[in-house]
Amino acid sequence: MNTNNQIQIDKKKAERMLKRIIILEKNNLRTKQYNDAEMVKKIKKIIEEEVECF
Amino acid sequence: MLLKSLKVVNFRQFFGEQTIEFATDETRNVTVIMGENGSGKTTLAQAFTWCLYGDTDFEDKVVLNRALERKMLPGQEAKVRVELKLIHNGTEYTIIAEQIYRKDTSGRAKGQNIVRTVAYKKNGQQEFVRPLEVDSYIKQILPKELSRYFFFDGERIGKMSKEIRKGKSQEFAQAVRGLLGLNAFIAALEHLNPRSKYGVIGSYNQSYDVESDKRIAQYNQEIERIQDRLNRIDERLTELVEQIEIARDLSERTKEKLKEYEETAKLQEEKQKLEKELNKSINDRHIIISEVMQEFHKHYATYFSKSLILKSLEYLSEDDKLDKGIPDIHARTIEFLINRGSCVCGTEIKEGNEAYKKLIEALKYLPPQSIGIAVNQFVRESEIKVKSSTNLYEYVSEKYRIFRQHQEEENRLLSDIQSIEKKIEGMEGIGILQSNLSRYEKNIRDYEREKDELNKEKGALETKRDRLEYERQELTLRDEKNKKIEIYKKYAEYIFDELSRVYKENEDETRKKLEQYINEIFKNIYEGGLSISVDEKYNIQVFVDDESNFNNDIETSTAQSISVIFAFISGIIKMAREISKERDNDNKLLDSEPYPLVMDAPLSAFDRRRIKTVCDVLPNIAEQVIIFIKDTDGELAEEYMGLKVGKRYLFNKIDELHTILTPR
Repeated sequence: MNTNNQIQIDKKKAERMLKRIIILEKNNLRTKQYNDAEMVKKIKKIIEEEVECF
Repeated sequence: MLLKSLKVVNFRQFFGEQTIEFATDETRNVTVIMGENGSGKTTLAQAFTWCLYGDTDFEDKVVLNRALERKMLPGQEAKVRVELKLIHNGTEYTIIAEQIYRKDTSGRAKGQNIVRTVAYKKNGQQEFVRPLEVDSYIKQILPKELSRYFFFDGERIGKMSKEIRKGKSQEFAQAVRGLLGLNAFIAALEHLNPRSKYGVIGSYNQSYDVESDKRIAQYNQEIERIQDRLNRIDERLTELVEQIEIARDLSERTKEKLKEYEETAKLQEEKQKLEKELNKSINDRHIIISEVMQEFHKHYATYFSKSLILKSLEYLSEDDKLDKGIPDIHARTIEFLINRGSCVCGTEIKEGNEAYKKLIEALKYLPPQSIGIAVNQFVRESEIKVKSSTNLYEYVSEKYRIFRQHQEEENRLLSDIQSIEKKIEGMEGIGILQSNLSRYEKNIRDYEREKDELNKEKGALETKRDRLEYERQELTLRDEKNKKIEIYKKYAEYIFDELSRVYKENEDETRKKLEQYINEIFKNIYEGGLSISVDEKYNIQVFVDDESNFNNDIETSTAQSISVIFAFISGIIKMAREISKERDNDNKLLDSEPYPLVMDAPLSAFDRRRIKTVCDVLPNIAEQVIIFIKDTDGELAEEYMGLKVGKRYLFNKIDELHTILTPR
């Protein structure tokens, strides 16, 4: 995967995102509430929320 | 998953509607359904697969009750229906499979397409799954690749044993990973997938504001083109890996066959030698028949008239039975001498003289007046014939003795040839095998070459893509809106990498744990210094617990095979159950579902002691156990499972076309 030094990754934020994404997927496997396109949107929302969060 | 009930309507020998409720209690989780052979145990077990996947293992795909079919009139319709109620992931599902049969004018009932419906309860309301999504729902409840392990047919042990030992598909491995709680990881990786433009990373790539710098659009286009090619390369590489594996497997099997063929070639040679001997013997026998026939035709008349001839000769040899004819002298000879007037000795023959009188007297004994000469000739010829035919009986007897010897020899040769044929049955010709082997090895070389070339191209394309992405990033970071997208994308990529790593770690750990559980269960069921290993594709290998032999997968007996399968299934069930127990903990990454074990004739290959072990182990490992079993094994199973048995049923076989399920 491409990485460069111009953008720094906050590992704590990334860890939070990862857990939230897995929980979201776990719940969706159980409830089948969202389809794939909706899940992509939900994951993007998690990433964007966490990035914006201070 | 917990199975609540199964309702069958006109399904094979189950005429009309019949329902079976399964034991779902945590402490009494075993349902025993007993029945004699042919009463419908396998049919009912197959009703599960028909309901879930619209298919059975039966050769005859007509599932309509035959008695009902006979009663139907042409043009009349009848419906087969199987309804399965189950709880999966806390949701109650009703899965229904239906098939309508219509009798045609020829008297045969033809089935229409099987229609499956999935309904579930959501907030107390019954919801129906859209028809196109039925398969994907069922796949999530229990993937077909795994179903045969949970709906387990004891009589298919041999085949299953081979299946779990090698050659399982990617789908199988994926399905096992799913059961082991890795589904959330698989789904998240799929949603983030940088290779798809519809995934999270791909959609960030699509969302740059191209108005800020026109070059961004050009970069997007070029990166997308490269990514498309990379995707195609990856797909082809996956195909190639599978093809190489298949070709290697075929090559190995052909080599093994060729090795066997060395022995076969010897047997083939021996067979040819025996066949040659057999043909020679048959040929010799035919020659004997022909010789005997020839000899017989030549002598049969004499042989069969021999006793009469002898009697005639005897009779003729008696005194005065023959007149005194002069051999080879005919009446015309005498007449000639009289007419000439002189005898051969020079004596004058004159009418009335002594010589004349003697000759006239001799005429009485000469043909045609006398038959004495003819009889004398007959006697001479008969003596010759009798002499020459005296050996016919001895000749035929001797030939018949040789003929019988040939027959006995041929029987022995035939029996030897047949036993060789049995040994080499199914063996292809060595030529075909060798040409196949060359083809497989050439395929492997070609695939490997293509793989290397694709990997080289892939490496170059990835470098180019990364460079282009870097250059695009240089441009996007100059614009605030695009910079944000870049940051989101970097996080998405980081999460994807991290998830892949954690997934791999979890998968390795889970597989190791599964291997440990399988071995624990296996050693419990089968003692004998054997261990089991599980590879990346969840293939099973059985090893002797001896370091020196550790690399040799060994052939197993039926009892070992069945123990391996039990251990494999139970290991997966145990892990899935354990993972599911922690479900309430939202922070844990793995998530799974407990599964039932439905077994048809599972204990038939086991002895009494192992039946006890299996009966002790299974109800404690599986969430639910449903056993279809014949009466003798069933009584043992009930005895050993004791209080674990919550429901008992009996297959009451009325006749070949009717079985009634009755609670006991």
